Amino acid sequence: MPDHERRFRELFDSQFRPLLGYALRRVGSPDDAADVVAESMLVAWRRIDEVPVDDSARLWLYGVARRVVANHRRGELRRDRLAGRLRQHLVEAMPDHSDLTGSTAVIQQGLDSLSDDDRDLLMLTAWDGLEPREAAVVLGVPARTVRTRLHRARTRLRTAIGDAFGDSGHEREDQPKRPAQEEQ
Amino acid sequence: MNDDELDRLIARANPYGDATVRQLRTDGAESDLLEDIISTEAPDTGPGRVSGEPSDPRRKHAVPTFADASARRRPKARRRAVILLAAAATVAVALTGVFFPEGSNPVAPVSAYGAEFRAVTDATPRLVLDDPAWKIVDIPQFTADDGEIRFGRGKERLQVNWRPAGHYAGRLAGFKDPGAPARGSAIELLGQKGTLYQIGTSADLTALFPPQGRYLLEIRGDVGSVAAYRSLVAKLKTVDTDTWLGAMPDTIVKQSDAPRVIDEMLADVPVLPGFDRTPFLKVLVLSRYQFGAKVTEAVACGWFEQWAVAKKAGDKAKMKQATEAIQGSRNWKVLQEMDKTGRFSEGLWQDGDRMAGNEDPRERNGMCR
Repeated sequence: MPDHERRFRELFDSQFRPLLGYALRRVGSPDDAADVVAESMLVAWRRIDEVPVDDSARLWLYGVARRVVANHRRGELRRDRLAGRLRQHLVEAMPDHSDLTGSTAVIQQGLDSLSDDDRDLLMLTAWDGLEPREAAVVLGVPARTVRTRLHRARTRLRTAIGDAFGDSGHEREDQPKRPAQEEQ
Repeated sequence: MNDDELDRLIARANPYGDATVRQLRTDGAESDLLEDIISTEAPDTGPGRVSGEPSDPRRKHAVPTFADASARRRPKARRRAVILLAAAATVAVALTGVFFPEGSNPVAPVSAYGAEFRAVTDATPRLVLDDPAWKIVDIPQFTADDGEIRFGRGKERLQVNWRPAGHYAGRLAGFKDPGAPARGSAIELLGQKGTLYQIGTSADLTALFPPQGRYLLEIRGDVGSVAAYRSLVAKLKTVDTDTWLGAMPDTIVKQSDAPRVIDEMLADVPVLPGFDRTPFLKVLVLSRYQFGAKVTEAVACGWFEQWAVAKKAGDKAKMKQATEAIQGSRNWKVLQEMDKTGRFSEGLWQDGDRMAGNEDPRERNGMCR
């Protein structure tokens, strides 16, 4: 097996799920997430020599996916036949989030109200679990810039969610629990 | 609330946490994708480059800009990428190449709805929602065989797709995975019998209809409940071409609007001599956002080309002129308008900064193909 193929197989194996998660968190629908994953992985295959060989491969892939999603928001992500089977399976395998209410809904609405940049940054750190310096790599900005932006984004989110959580910021006890507890 | 508390709240609102994603069942689709990708053209591994090492050490940890792939792609790869990386090119081909053969005269005056335009439109579903609160808000794709129209009321959306008839088996298989029994229910609409499926949340519904003629119909929306969905889609009706086109809001550019819209969009945009407007006059129907993206992308690509040629020739004056043109795009009214809808403008503005930093702006995925 050629070396570049071995590398790509390893990359795919280790990064498929993280990339799928990244895509689902951004585009919501399994259809679109499958396309984002397929397109991003294809870029990685085409440019396997440029994919970092260390842990930052994930950041590199997220950076690609971020641009793919940006294109998607432009309404241009057309259905890719590469993603066909994945799309079909994901449609049926998606968890039901219909009972996510309360604090989750308030936060999600708050995130929706933010600019793309603010939302991206908060999601990279809180949802994708990246350190600010790692988020900076994905966003292509200096780490010091990202820290300032993160502070501002949190402030804007606090403003957006208003007093929904009171001064304490703790989740209200009467909120229903998530159907699946996520790892923090 | 301190930062940690806020971060915990945000984390809890994550609809697809790591655990959820890990548990998603893909039934082999994952490995199919891997093999399919590997079976496409070989990676762009240049001679002398050692696999496993970055092509440029300075880029080792750099995230690729909009897609360096396109600029360095070899012809074979490029063909594939044009298919896969879709974007504007796909729309352009779909909207122009098929219906305006080489040699036709696209700059000839177009009647309100020209014959070729009508021929395509006549072949599509031409659906409207018989409810004044619901408007057509976007048309991201429009050909006789494959199109998408989004109706909207506030933040609610109803998406209608028509797809080639040959896609039906694949679409159906997606809903009827043997490992996950279909939750479809019968639905009759527009004289067709189909099945209504639930996707993801309980109110995210898609009605799939068997092909009639050259295309199948798929209607997706989340309007709160099954009852609300059924009530809404019952208001869909087929109208004649003139009525359908007449229902387009200003946010949709029709072919008959194109000359005026191009003039408006380029009013404050520096355009290189010889700029060719012809391709945009061929567009049949497209949302204003995407139309603006096509036009400004073409303008920008002219400046990118000048910048690159000048850089090679060491012509700093020409480089500066191109850089200033793109950096000035922050003032283009069309980009400011588009910035409220999507991220195309932001990308172009960043390109101006890249040029100022002596970085080739063409290394941006999806641009200037």
